[in-house]
Amino acid sequence: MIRAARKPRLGVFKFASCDGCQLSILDCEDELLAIAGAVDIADFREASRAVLEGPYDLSLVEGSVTTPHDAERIKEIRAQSKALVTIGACATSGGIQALRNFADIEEYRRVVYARPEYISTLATSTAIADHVPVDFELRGCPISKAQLLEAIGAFLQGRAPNLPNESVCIECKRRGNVCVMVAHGTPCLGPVTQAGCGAICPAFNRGCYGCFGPQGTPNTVSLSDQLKVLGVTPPGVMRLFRTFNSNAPAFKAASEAAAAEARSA
Amino acid sequence: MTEGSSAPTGPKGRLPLVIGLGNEHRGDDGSGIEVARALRPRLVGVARVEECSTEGIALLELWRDADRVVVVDAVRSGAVPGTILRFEAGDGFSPGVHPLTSTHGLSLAEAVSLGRGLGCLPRELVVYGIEAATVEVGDGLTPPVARAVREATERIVEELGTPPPFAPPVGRVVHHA
Amino acid sequence: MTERTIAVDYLARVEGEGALKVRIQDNRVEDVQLKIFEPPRFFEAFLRGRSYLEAPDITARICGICPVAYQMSSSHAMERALGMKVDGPIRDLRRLLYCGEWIESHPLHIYLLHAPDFLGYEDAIQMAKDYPDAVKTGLALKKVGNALMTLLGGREIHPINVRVGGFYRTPTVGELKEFRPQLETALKLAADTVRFAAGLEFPDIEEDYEFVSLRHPKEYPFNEGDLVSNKGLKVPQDRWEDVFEEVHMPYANALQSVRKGTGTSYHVGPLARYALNRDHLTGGADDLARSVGLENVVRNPYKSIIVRAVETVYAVEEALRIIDRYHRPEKSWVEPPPVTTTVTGGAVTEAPRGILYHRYRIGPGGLIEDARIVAPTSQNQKRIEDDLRHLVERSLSLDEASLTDACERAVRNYDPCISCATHFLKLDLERN
Repeated sequence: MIRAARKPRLGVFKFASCDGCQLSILDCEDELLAIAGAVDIADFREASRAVLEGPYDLSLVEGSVTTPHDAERIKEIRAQSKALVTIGACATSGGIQALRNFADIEEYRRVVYARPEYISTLATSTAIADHVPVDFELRGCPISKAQLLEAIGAFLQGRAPNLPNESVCIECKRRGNVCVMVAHGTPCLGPVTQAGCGAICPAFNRGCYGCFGPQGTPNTVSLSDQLKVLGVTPPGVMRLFRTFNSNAPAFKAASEAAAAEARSA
Repeated sequence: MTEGSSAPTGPKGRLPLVIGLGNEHRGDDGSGIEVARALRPRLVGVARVEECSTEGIALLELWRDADRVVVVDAVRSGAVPGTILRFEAGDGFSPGVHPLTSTHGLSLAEAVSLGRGLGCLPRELVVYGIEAATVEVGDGLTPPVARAVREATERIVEELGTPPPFAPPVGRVVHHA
Repeated sequence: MTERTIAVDYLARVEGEGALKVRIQDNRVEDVQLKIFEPPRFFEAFLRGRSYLEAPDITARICGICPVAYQMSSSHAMERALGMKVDGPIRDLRRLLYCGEWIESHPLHIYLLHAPDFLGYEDAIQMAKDYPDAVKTGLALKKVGNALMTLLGGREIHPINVRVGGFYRTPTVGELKEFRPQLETALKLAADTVRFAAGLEFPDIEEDYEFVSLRHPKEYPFNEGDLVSNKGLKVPQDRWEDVFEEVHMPYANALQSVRKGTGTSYHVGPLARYALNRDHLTGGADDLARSVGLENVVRNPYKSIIVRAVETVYAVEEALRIIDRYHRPEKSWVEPPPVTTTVTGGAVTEAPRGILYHRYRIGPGGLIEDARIVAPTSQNQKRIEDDLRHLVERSLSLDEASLTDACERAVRNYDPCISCATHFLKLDLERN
């Protein structure tokens, strides 16, 4: 147990994101006041006007880097942080907005904003770890509250967080779900996706869509073959791997393989 | 029920309803109205407070969807003016035993009987009766009835009132950003 | 010649990243800019080429606080394009899910983001030291909203159970009945919230808003109804683009919408819904509103906190009504027809912050060709700037710090959701 002379300073920072992972902190309703008692919330703009300057003992970073300004800002935050933990798919892999990495950014600007010259943005959306060293990653879209509390608690106790990188299948078995792929022929990314959500989608009668990103040893080639047996076309396989973690290396490779197959068809 | 329904299907979050009954231009017959007016600021957020100067049938409409109702009315029962009577519309309440005044139309008693017969009485109905000295034409209450209005107000606040939520700590000065 | 600039670098207690700049010249307000520096994520662009079935999951990621709103607007828009009608218990479950989102979102704003302004605290954590029961009530209510969304949707942030046509899995009657006691507790807490909000102190301000919301013939609106205003607007909800248009302001990474033709601002959200649907507020919500003396049309933007509280009561009561009449449908979704031609569909639903418009064009084979999404906060942006202009005009004698505070408060009245506005408070006060 860390017994510091002062309470550890926590900073919460947002980049390009939907805010859902920060909201997960506020969603720990039962634990929120206890957390607030154990740390000094130095900077958490969604929750408070009060801002204490860095340095921070623990920084939680949500969101991906998509502008030159943010590419600089993350370096400043890293310099001010003893430990930096990225939270959520945007921060750990670039998020849904990384779909721009596969497209023409100028075209995007023209489509969305009436006067494209007003927006200064990067052609890519990248993970925080692509810019600065990261001490720990919490996956998910959004992250799991239980995992968040484990990570903050571990930090306060000076140990590594105890979080598995096994596949969703293990969670499905633990939960007692029927395997939707085997029993119903429903396409599912569970075998290649990292556990953490508690296998909710199969429990609700649909296939996993990979919002926790690739698991430790993902066999996407084998799964892609199986998906085609189930009737998913190559463009469909490409879309399955290209959602909230499209920029994670294993999923990116899988979607590009499917895209190549779609082109040659 | 394909289009959805806005009709309440049960009490849910209904507030108690207080109805002050009477005619403020007929002397002590205005006591119910005066109690309602005194109660309104005291029961903000706690109960709905309505005044009713028309005849008893209007009550059936007013309390139609209400779950818990308190009615305040002037009474002529032969008791000392200013006496406060409280009874619940379940305990043997009938017009003959507790004659209530009505300067027009159906009296409260008759409205309750009709309501009972039609099956549209609130689940909980409490009546506060204030004994009138006079119901002659004229504004203003007689002194004993005026005192009774103040006392009945306090009793109803106590019966229905809830403490203010989240009272600030004693001595803290509230300032605004 | 004097010029003053008020700058709020970073608006706090507001979802997303926003800032504010006000320029005053010789005691006249020259310019007000609500700047969004939330980086754009280009949802409307990358939706192209996706299957229409993916829209609810993808668009949910526009906002972590109101994902259900995006799932509802996108599902309804696709269903309109495909000529599908979803009714009966599935329709009810959608309203129930939306109730969950309102029950989560409104108390979050009331207690954690807005109340600190009225009581003079930097944040709810500080406020909790003196008002522990208030903050705990807010957290408890939010928890019930989240629990309802988890029950129906699988999880509260980015629910997984919503699809075009309905749900992947519907709850059993038993599951919903088991949830009832939580809602009954929430009802008491929500009533306390109305009493709490009504007891706060409000500046005596009124604005002449054009309120815009849905209006349904029978219900307080969530997913269905026409688009109406208090100044004569009435069109079917998929005709949003006939009556509004978006303009890109150079200082913001978001589009501002205005009334087509006049170019004037308008106001969406709880005050608008309340003003235009007061007669559909029934039960305890109606009783409480009357009991605290709330007018039938509220034009004081600070009093939005009371209206949010009343809407929370409505949402809890509506959830109880739906649970009490629910029976599990045979199929949990309506199967969409195959897409053989190009079709277009638009829909508006009532997010906690106001109307959310989606419109899609789908090509044969079911891939999205074009998408248009307009969030409630971008629809309020110009109106927020108008409110700020009036506020600053009234308050020129205030010192820098107080004026800045007042401006921030005025923005927070709208519960702005800036991530949405940029799918898209640095207050610069130039005072010379």
